[in-house]
Amino acid sequence: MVETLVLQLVNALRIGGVYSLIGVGFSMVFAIVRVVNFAHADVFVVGAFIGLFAAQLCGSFLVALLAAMILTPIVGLLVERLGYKSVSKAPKGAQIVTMLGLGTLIRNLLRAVMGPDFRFFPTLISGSVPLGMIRISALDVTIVLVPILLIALMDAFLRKSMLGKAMRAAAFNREAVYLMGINADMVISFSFMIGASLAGAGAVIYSMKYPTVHPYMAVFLGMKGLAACVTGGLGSSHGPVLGGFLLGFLEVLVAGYLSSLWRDLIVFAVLILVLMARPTGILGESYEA
Amino acid sequence: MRVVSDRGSAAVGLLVAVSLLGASAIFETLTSTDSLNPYIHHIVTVCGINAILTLSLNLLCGLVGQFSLGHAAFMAVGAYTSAYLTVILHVPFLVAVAASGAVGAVFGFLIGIPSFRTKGFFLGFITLGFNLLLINVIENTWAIGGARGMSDIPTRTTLPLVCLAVIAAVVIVKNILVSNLGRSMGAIREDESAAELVGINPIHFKLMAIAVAGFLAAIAGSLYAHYFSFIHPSTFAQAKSTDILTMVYLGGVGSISGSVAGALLVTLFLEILRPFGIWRLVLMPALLVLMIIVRPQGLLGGKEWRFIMDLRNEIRPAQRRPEEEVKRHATP
Repeated sequence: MVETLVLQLVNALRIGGVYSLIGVGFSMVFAIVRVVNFAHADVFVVGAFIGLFAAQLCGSFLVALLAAMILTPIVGLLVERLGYKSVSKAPKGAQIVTMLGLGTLIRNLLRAVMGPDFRFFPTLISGSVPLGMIRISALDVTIVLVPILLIALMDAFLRKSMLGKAMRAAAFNREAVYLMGINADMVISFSFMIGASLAGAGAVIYSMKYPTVHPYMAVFLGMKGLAACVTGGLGSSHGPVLGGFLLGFLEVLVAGYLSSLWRDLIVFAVLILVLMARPTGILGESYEA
Repeated sequence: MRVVSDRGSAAVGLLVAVSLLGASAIFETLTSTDSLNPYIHHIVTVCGINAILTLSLNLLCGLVGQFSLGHAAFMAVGAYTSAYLTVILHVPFLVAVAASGAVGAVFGFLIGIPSFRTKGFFLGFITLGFNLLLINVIENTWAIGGARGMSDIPTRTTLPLVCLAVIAAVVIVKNILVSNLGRSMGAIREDESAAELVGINPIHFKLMAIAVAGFLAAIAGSLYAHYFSFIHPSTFAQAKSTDILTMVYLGGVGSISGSVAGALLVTLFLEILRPFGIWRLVLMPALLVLMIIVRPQGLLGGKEWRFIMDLRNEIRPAQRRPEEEVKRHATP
């Protein structure tokens, strides 16, 4: 009984952590440029591939994680240049469609270059940790703790560092930021890159638990990450984390005690219900998109 | 905003419509007697179904400036309603098509009610959520085939019928655009607060637009189901919604001709590039991104083919510069 409960808790924290890592990227970009980065889920897949190759090369979790976190931002920057900067003068609808198109482009490019095969992600962490009466695998401990650690780091970065403060300022008022001598273009680039970096980390963590990497792995996952983020509050800093863990717990509850068929359904039902009650999400402030 | 009048194009439009219908009938006969490659017939039919979808989405994105990210959901509603009615309840085909249109309109209306309580990008998220939710519900409902899809739907969609539906969709959207209704919608798109000040109730017009859009998309879905005779939930997934958006924005949002052109262009382009295999799915979005970078208003944004609508009679505010006009026109 206790064992099931702990395992369910670990499951919920794990799913919630991955949603949060994806959602923070969505939210951070949206806060500053008011455009949903629909290519984010595909940047996530790029991160999974980078992590996979790093893991195959040296077989170390830390190296795979760092490689994904350092190299994925390059793709994030490309997305910003092509999908935002080059069309920033275009109407909002066209910008959103550009992002959607860019996502499809990355996805199908990966499919064309990497092939449609499912690649196996090597097991990097083995062994188990005793926790009271039961033992939890070290893998589970890692994939629960690393996202929480990264999100905490992210939060400290946004609050304490100069760049983090600049990002929050840009989210608060884009025009005023220019007047304060902050390079807003650089801030925008960094928001895409940091989002991509967290997505890369999320991708490595996700692939360790569900060890198949393929170009279409994040189509649905990205949508759920976005749903979690919008539920929590798109554009706020803590909203995606709250939404991510909320949906993580809900999914586990529904899958564990109702039926796993309704697991995905509940995510989108909650999204629609929350949006009806509170259009900006639980923690979001009102915005004119 | 643009004030469009509709003088002078009716006669030419009628001529084009009649000749299109005639051509499609000839096409159908030639294909059924095996003197024409059925592949061409197939592509033309798919072009037509896609054109209805783009016209439907354009009504939302272009006319009222409301963004829908899950338009394929309405198509799914139409396809499944029609399939259920004909396969299980044995309702006649045309009745089923009309009924699925009505159900689509009701769904549009129901989604519109919560979505239009606030301004902004809200409808985008609601429709996206609805699209994903609906696919999931269909996958788990065994009465309509569940994840296996639904097969043995009577094949009743013919090319002249699709052609007729496209012409009807063009006429509906055009008449909305040139009427008082369309002008009110345009006012909401340009400046919602200002529209409210002159006595336009935005929610009223937005609901009307999404109901008509739901109707058209459901009709397209119904025609789709009775053309392929097999429907599967994954056909109507969010990727299909993105495809419709691509067609609308590539062709030019806000323009009726642009919607039709976008549907034709994307469908034909994907067929012509078939030898390239997966790379055609890379080239297509690349073309879209390039188009929006070079020409944000799309191929025919702010323009119309003369047989659909004669913009020479357009009453333009004199003081506004043309580039500003285009930019404002396409802002959702």
